[in-house]
Amino acid sequence: MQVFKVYFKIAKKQLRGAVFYVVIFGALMFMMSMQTSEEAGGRFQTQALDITVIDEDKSEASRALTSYLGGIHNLVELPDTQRETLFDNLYYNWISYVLVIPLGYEERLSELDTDGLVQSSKMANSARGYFVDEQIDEYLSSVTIYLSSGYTLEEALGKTADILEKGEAPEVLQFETSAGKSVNTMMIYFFQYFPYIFLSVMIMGMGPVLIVFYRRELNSRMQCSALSSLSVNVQLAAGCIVHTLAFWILFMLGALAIYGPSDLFSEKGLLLIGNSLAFLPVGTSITLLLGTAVSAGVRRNLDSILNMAANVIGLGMSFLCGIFVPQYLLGDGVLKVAHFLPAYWYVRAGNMIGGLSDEVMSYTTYRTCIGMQLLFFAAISAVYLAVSGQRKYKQVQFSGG
Amino acid sequence: MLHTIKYSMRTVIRNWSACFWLILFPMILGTLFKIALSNLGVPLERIPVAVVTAENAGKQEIETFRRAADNLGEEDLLEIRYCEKEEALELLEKEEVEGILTVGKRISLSISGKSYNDRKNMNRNILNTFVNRYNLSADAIAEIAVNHPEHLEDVVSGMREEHFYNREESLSATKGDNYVAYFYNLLAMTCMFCSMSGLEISLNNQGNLTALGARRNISPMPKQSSILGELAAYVLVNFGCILIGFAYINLVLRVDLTSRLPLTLLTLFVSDMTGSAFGFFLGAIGRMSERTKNAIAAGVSLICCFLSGLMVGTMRGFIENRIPVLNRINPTALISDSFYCLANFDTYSRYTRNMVSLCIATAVFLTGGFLLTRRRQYASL
Repeated sequence: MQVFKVYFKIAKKQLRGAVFYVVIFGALMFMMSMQTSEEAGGRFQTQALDITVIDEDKSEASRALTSYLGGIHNLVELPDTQRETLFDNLYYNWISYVLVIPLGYEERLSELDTDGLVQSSKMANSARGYFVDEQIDEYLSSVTIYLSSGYTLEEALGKTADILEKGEAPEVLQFETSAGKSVNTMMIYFFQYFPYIFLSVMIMGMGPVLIVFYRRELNSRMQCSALSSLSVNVQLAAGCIVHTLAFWILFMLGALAIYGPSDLFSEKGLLLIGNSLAFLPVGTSITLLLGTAVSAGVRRNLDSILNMAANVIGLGMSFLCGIFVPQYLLGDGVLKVAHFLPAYWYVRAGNMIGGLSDEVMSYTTYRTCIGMQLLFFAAISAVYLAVSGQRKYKQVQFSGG
Repeated sequence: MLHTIKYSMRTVIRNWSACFWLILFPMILGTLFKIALSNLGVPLERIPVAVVTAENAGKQEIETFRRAADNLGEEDLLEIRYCEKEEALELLEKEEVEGILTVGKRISLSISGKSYNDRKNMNRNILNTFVNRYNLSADAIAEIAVNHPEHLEDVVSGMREEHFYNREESLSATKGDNYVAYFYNLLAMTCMFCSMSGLEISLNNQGNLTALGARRNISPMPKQSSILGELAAYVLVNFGCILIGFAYINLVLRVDLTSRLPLTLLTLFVSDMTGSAFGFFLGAIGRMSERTKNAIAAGVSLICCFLSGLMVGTMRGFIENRIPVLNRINPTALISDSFYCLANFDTYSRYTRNMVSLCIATAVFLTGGFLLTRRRQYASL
């Protein structure tokens, strides 16, 4: 068990850095799941958007319009109404719409001079903006109809308010839907970010340990020792498995502490745990492959290069597979490419379990997703073994020549 | 010092792997961002609906509905399929349509309770607003026909006219695509990776951490000039690498980040200096090992990038509305905000504030780094 012991001796030396990465990424994971679950909504409801109304007229009519919009949406007051502040808030989705009711609004409305009666700003081609546009048009069209049929302004505003209040909700038809008890949304997002966090921590935590083993001098010494190549590889693999499992257990303990046993060990919680367990070998094989590749070509700045590589793989896969951006927002072409990445199957299963996608919960699909992840593990491991074998062959040639 | 700059540049260029990754990093991630994010947001798209006729409805109601759908303003907004109820239900269950409109004197909407996402919910809300508006007009006409029949013709003809109650005003000179913010953050992250170079300089001058540091500490060359020269060389080479990535994003990926190009380049250069100075300062603190310091640099950079919205796009806005001071001191947020200001605003006050903050941060990191490294003596090396 010398190699196994040496693995952990090296890991112990790198412990401080590894713990730092675990803490940083753990904190990131928690913050991300908190922020995203705040944004996520529930089932159908009249969507209340955050909008800003700037009432310059301050008349009865303008207050009635503001009150109508306030009844549907959340009116957000901004610290100031400068263009920069308004644009900032629209750009970063803090608000979805800005409505300006200009001075003279009531007067022009009474005279039925309605062209460009109010001004609005929204992000280009935004469905949310179009939704509010429609509601404003609906309101003003109603007031105009009553005014043009001889009602006074006060009556027209009152009638419009009454009639809009009676707006009917759509009939919701229930088809077969996701089974099981609903689960903590924050926990679903916590698990959704797992591949990014796991890959990053593994590459930056386990990568440096592997690189020590791949160094030409150490590798050559190990090869000419009494230990068989098989024994070395098995012990090294055992080291990696224990290392990976230790991180996974740490992650689960974190989830247990935050969400409690009732959520984590619920039916859906256990399915999410199973899904994360299936991703472990994939992440480990990617780390092994990357460790071999980096140690082959690089002699200096290994940490910073591993850091950049971890970010490229972690962030790239996360964006393509729907970890940071929901899969339904990614184009069909992107999703077709994502099918060739393991994290896609992980996220697909997670979204299905958590009810974040259109897919109805099915154990067959769940098993397919798990199976696909394991297939990726087999494929990446095969490439790793081929690359690693090639390197050994080259070294033997180098030593011999 | 020129001698130091020259030889440091040669050393950096020979250590090609770091440069290679600094170039490759924005290229690979930029390409992936371009592929994945160009479809972001909840864009306005055609909403597929099935239209069925209510039991007691005649051709006239369907005709009125057709006219109302055509008068939506965005003629193509509804992708209508006229069909029988059974077929409509099947289409809804298969999610081929977003809702079923049952047309009579009034119309009613049926939607599926099967699945939810932001885009679907918004489409369903738009449909619901359309239905309410239609019913509202129908109810109003019915009421006016009873109470003010003399005005009915005026009202109906008024309704047939197209009205533009709402005038759209653009707040920015550009279209303001949210997804470009990911590229601002990507460039900011690349600049923060320059901290690895700063860290290397710091470590290379500490006798207790590296062999090179030990040799340098016994050489007669003043430490300050040696470090300054090395910093200048690293900043210049890193800037070259960042420019290659920047050119790739603009010319190959066709993501336009070139608004006011000279100022954009200045921003990249200052950001490169801030990143390097940050690494240099971090390297000078304490007696931690190279690996621990690398881990801290990477971790801090990553947290800064997260807070400025690299992973969750709305994060910067979230921070701005809750803890705005964080956005004023986070170098990544300052860098990405500078690109954002150049692209979207005509004024320079906020951009200048960002640049001044970055310069102050650079000066603080450099001064701190020099104060920590000067007069450091070793009893035995």
